[in-house]
Amino acid sequence: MIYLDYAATTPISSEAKTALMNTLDEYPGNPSSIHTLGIAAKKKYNSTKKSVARLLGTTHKNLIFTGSGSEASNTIIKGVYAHNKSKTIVTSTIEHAATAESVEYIRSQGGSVKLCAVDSEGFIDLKALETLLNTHDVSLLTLIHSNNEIGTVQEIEKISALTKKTNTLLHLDMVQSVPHMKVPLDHSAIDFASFSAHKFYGPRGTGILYFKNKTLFQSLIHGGHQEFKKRAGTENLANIVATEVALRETIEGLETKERTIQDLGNYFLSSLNETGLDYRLNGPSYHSNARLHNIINIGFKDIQRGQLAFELDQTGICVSQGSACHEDSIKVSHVLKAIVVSEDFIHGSLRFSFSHNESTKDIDYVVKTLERIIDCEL
Amino acid sequence: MKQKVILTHDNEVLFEGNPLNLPFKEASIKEKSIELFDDEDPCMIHQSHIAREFVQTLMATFKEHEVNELNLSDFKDTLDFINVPNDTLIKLKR
Repeated sequence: MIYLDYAATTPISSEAKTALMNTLDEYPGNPSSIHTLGIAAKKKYNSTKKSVARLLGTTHKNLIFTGSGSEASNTIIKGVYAHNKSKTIVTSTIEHAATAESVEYIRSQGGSVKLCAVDSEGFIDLKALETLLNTHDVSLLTLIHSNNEIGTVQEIEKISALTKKTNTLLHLDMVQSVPHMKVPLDHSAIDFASFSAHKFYGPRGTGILYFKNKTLFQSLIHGGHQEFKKRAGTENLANIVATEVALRETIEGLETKERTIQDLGNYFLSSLNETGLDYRLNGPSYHSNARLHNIINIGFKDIQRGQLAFELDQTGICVSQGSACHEDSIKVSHVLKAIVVSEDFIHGSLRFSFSHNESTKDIDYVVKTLERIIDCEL
Repeated sequence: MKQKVILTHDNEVLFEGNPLNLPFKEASIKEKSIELFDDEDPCMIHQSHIAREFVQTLMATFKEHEVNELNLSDFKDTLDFINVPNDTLIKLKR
């Protein structure tokens, strides 16, 4: 099996898994309980949180753990809106569903939401953003930092120059960023950020929410004093401990792993070029530094992506179709629509997302299989 | 897909086109959905995946018997998911 869907989820690392299992055994108490087992669990929770904060370049007073990256983004978007319902929330046309559907919910509640366009590579149209921020009373700009479908990494410096000027809060969905770069949480303009453990070889079911000021958003979940009263519910200690382990492992040797991924990506694209298949790379140029190199979104001309992904799966290659169910139809990716991928390529677009563990032999197999399927079957 | 299928019954063409668009029995889709996903109410993406599984079974049947035409009544057990009369002829065309 060749797994090329790491942007969807990553397998938990063996060290993180061991830490998770050990924590389940060693810390049976509720961190809120005032007895020996509870106190031990609370101490473990606190020390783990401090370590996670250090790894992300912040302090434990600026983090809470959530049930997912989506929950972290929901908490900020809905929480900032609840804090000031008369103001506008601005986002982009290429957001993850956690953001896109949260702002749709706010719109359904009578809130004001504006969408900012992106260019053909997925970068925010800074002129359009400036106009939006200047012409509306905006409380929050919420953006996906590294796009989950096409890999575009937004330019924080340029965006934050605009949010600073207009005194707008900035939330970044950094779920895809963490496994591939040092996240700049120390950047003064980032007010909120979302992370997800299972994207960096941690367990599913744990997200991280960074905030600069906890008084600027309301809680989504009530019913306990946990997480500064910003996210009620008994802490998932085993998952949190495993998250810390996975994050530490991810950050160690990050540059070397990224170089390996980039080499594999270059090899994949040059091998594809040699096949003569008619394709386009969706998103920024692969040589750009303003992109994730593990995400390669390819549009194959006049191909149905669902059938291609199915045929690849039959040969042991797992990739993402990037589709979503919408009532009675299968929707074309809103991200690919936003960057205006032409009709003849948009329906044949697949996302290949790598890790540093693949080999050139794996890539050879993938490219040969693609060539065979497209030439012979589709 | 490069292949097309033509379904005829009593000299009447019932279907011609991409096998993924074949008429599949709702009951068969539900049964396969339960088998694959333990879900009796599959979404569109899962339904299209099931259709691909069915088409794969159909193509494998052609390949296994090294034919380009078959009578559904001879393969009732394996191709029962196609929603056409029992003795329909299925022709494979590239």
